[in-house]
Amino acid sequence: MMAKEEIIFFLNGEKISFNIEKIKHFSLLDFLREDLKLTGSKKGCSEGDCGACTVVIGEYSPIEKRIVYKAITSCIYPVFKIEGKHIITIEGLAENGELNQIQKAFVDNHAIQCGFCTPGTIMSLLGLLLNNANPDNNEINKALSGNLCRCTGYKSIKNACKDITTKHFKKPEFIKKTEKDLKKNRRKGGKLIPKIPNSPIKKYIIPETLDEALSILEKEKCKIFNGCSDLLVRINKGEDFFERVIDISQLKELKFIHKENNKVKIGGNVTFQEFIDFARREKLNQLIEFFEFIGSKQIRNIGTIAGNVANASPIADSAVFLLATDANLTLRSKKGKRKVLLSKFYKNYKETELKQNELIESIEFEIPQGKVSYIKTSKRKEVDIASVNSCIIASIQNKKIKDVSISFGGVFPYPVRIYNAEELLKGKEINDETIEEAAKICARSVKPISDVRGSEEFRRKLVYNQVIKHFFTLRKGK
Amino acid sequence: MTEKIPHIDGILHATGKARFVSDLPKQNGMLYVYPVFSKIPKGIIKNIDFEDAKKVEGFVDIITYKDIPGENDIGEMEKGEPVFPEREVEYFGQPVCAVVCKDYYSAILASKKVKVEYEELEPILTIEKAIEKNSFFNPPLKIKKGNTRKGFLESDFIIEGEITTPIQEHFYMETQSCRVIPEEKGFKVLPASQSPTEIQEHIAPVLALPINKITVEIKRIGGAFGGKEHSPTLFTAICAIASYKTKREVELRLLRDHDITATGKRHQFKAKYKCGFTKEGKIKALEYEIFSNGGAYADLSIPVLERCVLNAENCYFIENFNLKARVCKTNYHPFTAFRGFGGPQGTFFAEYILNEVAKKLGKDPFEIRFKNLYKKGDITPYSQKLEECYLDIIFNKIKPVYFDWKRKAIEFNTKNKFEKIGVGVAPIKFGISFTTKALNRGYALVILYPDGSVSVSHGGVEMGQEVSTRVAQIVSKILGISFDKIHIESVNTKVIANLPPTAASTAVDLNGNAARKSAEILRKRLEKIAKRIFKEEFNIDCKKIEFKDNFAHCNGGKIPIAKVINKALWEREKLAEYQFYKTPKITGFNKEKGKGKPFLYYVHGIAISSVKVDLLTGEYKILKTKIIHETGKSLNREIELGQIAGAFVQGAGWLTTEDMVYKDGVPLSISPSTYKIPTISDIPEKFDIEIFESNSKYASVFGSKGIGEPPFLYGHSVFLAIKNAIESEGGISNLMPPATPENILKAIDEAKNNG
Repeated sequence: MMAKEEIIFFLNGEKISFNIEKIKHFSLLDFLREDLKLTGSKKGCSEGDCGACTVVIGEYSPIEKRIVYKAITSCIYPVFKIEGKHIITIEGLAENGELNQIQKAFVDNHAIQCGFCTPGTIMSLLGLLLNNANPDNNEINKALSGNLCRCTGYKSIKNACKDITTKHFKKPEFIKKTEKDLKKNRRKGGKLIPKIPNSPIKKYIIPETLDEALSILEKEKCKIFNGCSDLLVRINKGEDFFERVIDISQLKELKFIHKENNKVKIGGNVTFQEFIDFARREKLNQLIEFFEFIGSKQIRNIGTIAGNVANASPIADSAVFLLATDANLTLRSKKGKRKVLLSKFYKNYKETELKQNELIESIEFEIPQGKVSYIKTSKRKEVDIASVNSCIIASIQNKKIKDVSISFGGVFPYPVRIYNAEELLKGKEINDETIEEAAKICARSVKPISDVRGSEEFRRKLVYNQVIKHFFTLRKGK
Repeated sequence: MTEKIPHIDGILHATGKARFVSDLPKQNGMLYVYPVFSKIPKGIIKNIDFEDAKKVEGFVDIITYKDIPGENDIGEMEKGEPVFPEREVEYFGQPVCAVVCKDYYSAILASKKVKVEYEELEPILTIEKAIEKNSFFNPPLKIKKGNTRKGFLESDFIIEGEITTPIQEHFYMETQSCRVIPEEKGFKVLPASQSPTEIQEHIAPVLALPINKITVEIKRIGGAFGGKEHSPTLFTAICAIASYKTKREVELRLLRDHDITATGKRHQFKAKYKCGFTKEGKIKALEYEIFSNGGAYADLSIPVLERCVLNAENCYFIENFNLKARVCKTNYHPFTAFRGFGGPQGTFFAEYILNEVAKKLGKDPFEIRFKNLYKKGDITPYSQKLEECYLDIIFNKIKPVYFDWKRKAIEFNTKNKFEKIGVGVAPIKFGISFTTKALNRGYALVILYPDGSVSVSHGGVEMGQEVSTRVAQIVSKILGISFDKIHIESVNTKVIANLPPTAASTAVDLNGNAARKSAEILRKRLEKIAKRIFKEEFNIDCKKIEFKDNFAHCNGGKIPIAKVINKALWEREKLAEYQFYKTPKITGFNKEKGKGKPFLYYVHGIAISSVKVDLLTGEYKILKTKIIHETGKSLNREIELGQIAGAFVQGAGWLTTEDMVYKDGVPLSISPSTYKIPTISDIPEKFDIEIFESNSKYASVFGSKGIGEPPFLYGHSVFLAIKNAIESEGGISNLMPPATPENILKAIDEAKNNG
């Protein structure tokens, strides 16, 4: 591992090599705005939740074996991840002084009022259109839910989207042209960045191989960064002081999705979006619907499923689903690997089985054969953290429950399975009484607390009602 | 004037070139100031320890009240609001002092390392507690009409109750920011503010300078909604003191968390009401006792209260009316202006009560509303006569749609056990003008250049309402010079001075009219010159000249306007015109008497919404919304549609997803991860807006009407639809906004128990 002086990336079609010593800011947004003086991307919240800082990143995907494009919130994207990638910002979109189709549609449809959210919204739409030139209404909503606008009420933005999708969207020339270079210039990784100005980080390590990563973890206490959708938020706000960081997002060994029979194994570096794209290819529609309710498109593009699990939030969306599938984690250290059931992984609030020298290598679960019902109750439908979420997977034969698993988030210090309710239901005929009984057991088994997302009483009520709703949906045969 | 005119800076925004304060180029050596916020709602400052902060790399200086060269007061309506408290903090998040560092991140870090010791005092955190402690900002404001006692005697039914409305965060996309630059004499101040003059007039005494030593300049701001009317004054003052002390250019920019924690919001209100009505549904008497939570300092709370009470009867003629209202002083951040300025709260009370009346009588809320509607010539409780009224026309237009939706909802509800659809209706009658008469003034300076281009300065701050586009459009139309040749300047208090805030939906009425006057005078001057040219060069005797498409036209001949201007210049004609406009026919609102003619005209309209509620989880989806909005003559259809859609969505957000959560006076929902404004997925699946052009004689520029605030009230229809769905099986709930899933579930239980 060597310290490299230059970081090489593409910016709006141009190859840039930038002296690392001259990088004065940690987030890509601050790097763009302060170091490169590109102020088109705006800072609205510093936590990836408003979308004003959205840019598009083009990079080679080892899973899909092609260049893919992702809209990301640059405020929570460490600048050192950009090596070998194509960063597309609002400044680059107009070519030869001519507005891009998206820009033109926004101007023509009066989809701009105060304009602060405009660059980010345009970039999110670009991210969508580069992957799918003819998105439907739902796909547009999903792509733009992470871009808050307080002026327009979104009606004119929807009109602009409609305008573009009725015409043929053409991939901008500078993006096409850069794809060849991107394939040639795949990042090499393997670097150590000493002190990061404007951040608490004293050492930032980007290992090239899994072995290297594990050796480092063995030797020193490091905070593991992957998608960073949570950790950088805390740095931006001056709240957390991770001095030594190991960024494992470039490890190719952790970037895979395997499917054999009904078992799926996903690597520790797989993002939500990569998994959704996989599910789409495999026609696992139920899973798409559920995973698309996690975060915003920008967050799904960077956040990893393993990160969501390891973060050990009591309300982690993916954990609730994975728990219901009896998922297994493979934890890896220099000394070897061990398998841990997800249900045994959580020990207490934000406490897990993961040791200082370990990382999550992969997550393995079985594609549910029974019916899956997932409910997430939150103040807002999109881009919100649930008050309570739950998942029920049930196989029902002749109106009898053959097998069932029930998991809940937001009502315990960590996501939990409610085994006694499962036991009650197994072998029983589905009727109102049994379901109500199971709902009661669930409500009795949880230990919710009151916080900004709801009171204890409300959460307990939701637990009961969600069980009723799950079975109502399952019985309807949806 | 309905030809398609684009956003004047649309291309700049779409290409990322439009600059906001924090995008401006930075001078070498620029510093960043960051406030230290109070960590308790009320207490005495015992000690401030800067030692750890000073160790942060990049630390430069500290700023405390002792560094203020002039007055430590930035109160706008009332004195007594300090920049930094000298002894006592009055709210959680109040800036106590500040740190100055070489870069932004260090400033945040250093501010967190300042240790402030307090002696905690018992705060006032509820309206009830304030009432108990007699903690108010004003004597009761009263409005009285007729005799309510007599009205109650004539009533068949009397209902009483209590209605509360929630706090709302502005969530403008650009957080509070400003830059202060020391100049040879005085300072240049670049704030993200709706009130350039307020900033100028307050920074001067804080720095002990005369007003003319402070120049305030504002190009545009990234959303405001009232949240940048008074709130920026405090932060700009902190920035100015830092610049004064360090003699350097200084920037202040709040992180979103601190912006939500420390700045003003929409007032929480509480109303006790008593309403008497006949069995036919005619309201005979209405009594109110209204309290607002004003927070720690008066801010704009009293004028906000005024507009609330001027809207508390909304669209309904009420013979006997009696109202008392006060602002409570509590230990929260000050509450401030927010789109509608008390109007949303007042009209919400009225609409809520009308629904309760309908329920009591088992009649449809639409019918009850129609029965009580204002008609032309009616007198309001504050004694303004309605010279025009379009409510019955609008009601009749929407009636078939409403009853069709209603029928479909009932059909759906009989078939579904866990999901119910409700329909809500919310009409508006919203007065336009500042209720403080003196503020109704506009200014514009129009300058012609010999190449045919035009510069316009006016008093309206551009914050997304597109006042710039519309003023340019007006000037373009009058001078016949194409829109792309009109340049709208930044608001600069050395060019356009003594301004009211850009607020109250009046920016185009006031500044557009001033610009119109300027342009008309210039046009007359050019006509004279053009006639001379036509005579001299073409030998045409012109009676009438038309200015259009950059040419002066007469009898088939045409000469470029640039040529006319050029000739005017050589003939020593004045090519600039500075004009002033004041709203005619208004008297303002006399709060001692509770009477007046505060409004030039009213804006009318109606919204209906259909919402599906999940009875098990309390979640809901807006299925359909239809709005009919009266504009007078449309000035720019697309801007108006944009304002209506944006205001409706913001109004619906206020009553549904936007839940400001506090615990013991500490705001908890301080970031977009916990404070949820609507996203693109939350707007109605079917969203239909119809503009109804009336021939209003009282309307403003080119017959148009103010558009910014009135449509906010359409959001009421969403809340009322949710309540209607919950009560679809006959029960009665006490649902109060915000209609979060939690509150909805509680209301569903109530409805079950009261069914």
